[in-house]
Amino acid sequence: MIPTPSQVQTALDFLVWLRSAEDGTENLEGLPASIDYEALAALARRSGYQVTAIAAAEAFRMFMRVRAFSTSRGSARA
Amino acid sequence: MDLPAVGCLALLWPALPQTFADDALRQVLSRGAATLPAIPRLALELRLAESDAAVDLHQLVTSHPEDLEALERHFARGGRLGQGGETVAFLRQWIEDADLRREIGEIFLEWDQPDGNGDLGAPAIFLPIDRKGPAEDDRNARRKVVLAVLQRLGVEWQESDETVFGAFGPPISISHIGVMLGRRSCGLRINYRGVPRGGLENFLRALQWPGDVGRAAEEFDILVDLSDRVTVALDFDGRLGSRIGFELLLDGQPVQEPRWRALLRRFETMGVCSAAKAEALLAAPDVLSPEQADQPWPAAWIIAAVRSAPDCRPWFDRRLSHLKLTLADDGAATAKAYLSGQHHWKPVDPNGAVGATAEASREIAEVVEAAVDFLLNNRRQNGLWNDFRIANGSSDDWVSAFVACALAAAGARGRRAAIEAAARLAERQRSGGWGYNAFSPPDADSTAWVLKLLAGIGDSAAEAHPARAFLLGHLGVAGTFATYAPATPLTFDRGGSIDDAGWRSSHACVAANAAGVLGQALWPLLIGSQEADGSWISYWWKTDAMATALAAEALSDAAPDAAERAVAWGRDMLTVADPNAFDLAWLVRLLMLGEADDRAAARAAARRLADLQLADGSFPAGAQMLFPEPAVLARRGDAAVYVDEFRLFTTAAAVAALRQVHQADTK
Repeated sequence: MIPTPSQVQTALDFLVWLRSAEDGTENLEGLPASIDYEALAALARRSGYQVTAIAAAEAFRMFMRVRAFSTSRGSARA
Repeated sequence: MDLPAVGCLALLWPALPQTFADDALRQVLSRGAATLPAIPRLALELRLAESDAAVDLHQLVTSHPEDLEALERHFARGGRLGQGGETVAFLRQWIEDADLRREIGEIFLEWDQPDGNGDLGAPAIFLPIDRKGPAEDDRNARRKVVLAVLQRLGVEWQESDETVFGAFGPPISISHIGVMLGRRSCGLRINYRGVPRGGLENFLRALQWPGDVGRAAEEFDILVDLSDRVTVALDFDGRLGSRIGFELLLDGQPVQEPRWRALLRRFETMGVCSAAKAEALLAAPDVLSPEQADQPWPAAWIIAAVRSAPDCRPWFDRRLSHLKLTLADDGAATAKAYLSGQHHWKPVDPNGAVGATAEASREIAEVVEAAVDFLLNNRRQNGLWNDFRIANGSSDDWVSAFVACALAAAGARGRRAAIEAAARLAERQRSGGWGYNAFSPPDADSTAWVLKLLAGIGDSAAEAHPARAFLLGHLGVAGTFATYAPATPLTFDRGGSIDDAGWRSSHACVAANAAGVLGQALWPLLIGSQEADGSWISYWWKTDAMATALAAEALSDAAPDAAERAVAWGRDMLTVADPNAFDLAWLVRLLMLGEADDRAAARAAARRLADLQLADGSFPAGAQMLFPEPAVLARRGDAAVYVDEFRLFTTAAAVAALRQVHQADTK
């Protein structure tokens, strides 16, 4: 199943919020050590973002890809 | 933000078939790992016999601030280390005591397989003892600190125990001592490094080891030839036990290091490793990242990844750490493998930080001595050197011949090492020649370097005659000279028929080297293949300084005009290019062939080269070997480049060049 663009966008919004959420924000710890995107989606929903596991997985991959790309561009300029 | 250690297991399990650990055992191990400090650096100790599925758990703790903070948080929450009350007390002190951390920079914690509830017992603690090659007084001071720690952990010492610490000297040292707190008798495991090939028998006798010395020594010598390093592990509990373990370490991972497969094949032949487990281990190493399409990232690590600084990119390194062969009291052998998993935040810089530059403006003789020290300190236990890492592994035969050639003329210590290397290489001669390594067919370049080595140590060895005949077999009827002779079989992993015309064509760089051995047979080829600018173009190297210097040296008497044109090219290269240490070394040698002005320029270049020396005596890696497609006939810009990452090849080239300048100055 492929997530819709709007589902992925919501998940990305959640990750952007997560990046700058205050330390100590409820539920930021306690995710399982297994590879489990349902747990990430559940955390998003508890934080007010309606996210499915598959959209959470896709958004996380995109988020990290963009970061990796911008980091390598930064290195190249340096 | 914590990175739970158990996340490592989520990324290790997919690489392991159930024969290593079934689902029930994985759950037990995961429950145990979940109680450990949030230091994402675990390893699994895996049994290799078909029917043995026990798995032990290891964690490496370093003195990096992140590890110390993770430990502090763990203890503040009431976290434990299995049943290790003494271990917790020691680690609490270690966190507080910066002096202690300076001496003990890393600690290995090793738990036996947890019980059915996932409860861990007391861990064994392994502490580093002797640094590699320190001064004796430094070594004694460090040992005192570590022995005091061991006493606090409940280990009692007697005067007679000194045998296990003192009945040997360099190059042998103690790498680690382990306190086996989890075992019924709280004994020690002592790991000795640097035992030379052929030296285990005397070492064990000096220690009065009670086991089967002959059997152990025979096995050890075989394993040394298949490994980069072999550590000898002995048990000590007031007296030495008769069990012996060999820990086998290789610098590269299986994809680029064929000796892993060779070691596992040996284990299979001995009946201590199943073929299926061996294949799984060879395929296990990988580098994983959260941006991969299959995105194998533990949920508990996601928040840390999202919230990390922009220049932090998480990745996971799954590595085959080492293998171990143990010979028990009754002589029975068992084998284990150690698969490690570690979370990292930044990519590894493949060029690495190679250390600070040594103090500038030292005498050339002093620079050469330091470089010789580096080469001698970086020999393998079998007396040879390894460098470069290509798909077919690192090179030992070819690199060792080149390095030993430089050492043969670099003083008594260097000469001794060169003679030892020549003896080892003599045992490895195949079809009259030598190759890149034991997995590669013999070739003209490697064989020419061995012949130069034999000449350099004044040895008219029995090996030289067939080697010379082998080398002559590379001369073509049209006066060409190839790296691989028509009779030499070349096989490739890709299978099928591969066009290898490029590798078998005439190569000026190899001819230039071999001309130093075969002489006039190669003069016409060299004279005919010189470029208009005076250089010779390399097939196997990205740059031409080495080929040009070797060709000019070979022709300096026979064709002085050609040598003169080469020297002029070298002068230009010094001014228009910014040569690295490797090319600079060959340009020094080239200019030493010229007139007084050229030799003055060579001295200035030698000074430049000397100032590039690093604090450990080495020179920055600059030898850029090419690995072209076998069909490619001439050098192309898209060939894969491999640098001498251990800096041995460049350092040997620098030793040869600087020694030549120094010798000319002192005449």
